[in-house]
Amino acid sequence: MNGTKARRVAAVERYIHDLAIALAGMPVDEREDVIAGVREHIEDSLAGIDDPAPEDVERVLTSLGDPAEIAADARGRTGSPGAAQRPELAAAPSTSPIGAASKSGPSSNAAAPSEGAPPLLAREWVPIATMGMFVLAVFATWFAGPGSGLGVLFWLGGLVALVASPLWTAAEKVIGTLWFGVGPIVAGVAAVVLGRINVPGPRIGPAVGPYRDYLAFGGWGWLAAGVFGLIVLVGTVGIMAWLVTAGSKRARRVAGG
Amino acid sequence: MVEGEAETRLLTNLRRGALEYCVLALLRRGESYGLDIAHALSADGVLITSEGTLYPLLSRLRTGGLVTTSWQESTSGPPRRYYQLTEQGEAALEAFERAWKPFRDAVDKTLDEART
Repeated sequence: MNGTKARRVAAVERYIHDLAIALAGMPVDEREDVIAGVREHIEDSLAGIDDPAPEDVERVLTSLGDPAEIAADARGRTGSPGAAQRPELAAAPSTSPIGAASKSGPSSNAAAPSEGAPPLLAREWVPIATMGMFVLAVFATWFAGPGSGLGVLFWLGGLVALVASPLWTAAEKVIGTLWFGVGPIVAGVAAVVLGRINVPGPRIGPAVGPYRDYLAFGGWGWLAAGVFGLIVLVGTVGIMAWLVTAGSKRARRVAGG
Repeated sequence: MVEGEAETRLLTNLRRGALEYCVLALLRRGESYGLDIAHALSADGVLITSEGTLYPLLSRLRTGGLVTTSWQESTSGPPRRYYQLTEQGEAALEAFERAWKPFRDAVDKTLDEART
């Protein structure tokens, strides 16, 4: 019973999330108004049904329509000549106190999009660029050394893009931040600690430039580090592919709507 | 129910100027809430095909001062937002009606004459 409820909530939240992305670039107060209206519509539709099945949710969401279509319709109204014929409607959002207040709100800081264009962090290149920054962070740390700060710069850039972009759901952001944000810190601390321990065994470790001081442990240590590194590599490639796929799919939807 | 691509676009364009006044006209009978308005407009599958498109429209009507909203308790679930027609909305609707009837007659007349 709880499982169906969780799935139901997940389906609704995914829809609301996709709608919020599709409406990106609209005045903030209007976007929030639309999302609140649609949410109420869904709750109202399901309130009459005793323990709604996934098909009931599906039916309600289908009758609401594709989020991209809703956004395209709303954009058509703002951008069309019709808007000019209705000056009382066209002028209202910018002069209303709600509009003025929410201009300084937190949700309007992603970018200042021109009418109709998706905001900067919802463009199609964002997923690849974000993951690219994490890759660059590794290379920069390796070649320029951890002291240069270049790697940290790329790393922070990637994290900011990951958290701020509307292309990822909250769950995707949490997993991405844990892996790419918290992971390197844990790995770094572990490397320093392990380096001090100096595990016994044949010393076959290669010279690793600036890391000599940290990675001075013996042969068995290198084996353990190799296995650990393999897990990290596979996990990193997997999570990157997953985030790029999910983010790109939504970015295409935004661009298409 | 399956519409051609061209027909869908045609309907979208035709709705653009008229749909908001249909919403205002519905509210003339008395205040109403989102789901109720959506069902009334989508019943015949002509005025609205995707019910979600109603909400950007309602938002604009509200910021334009043609409707106001108020929260009211519901017997079956969470409180609902009710939409009421304002005086400004009533005036806009009357202006539309004055323009619409001659417009509709002129289109019909032209279509009929072209057929014979």
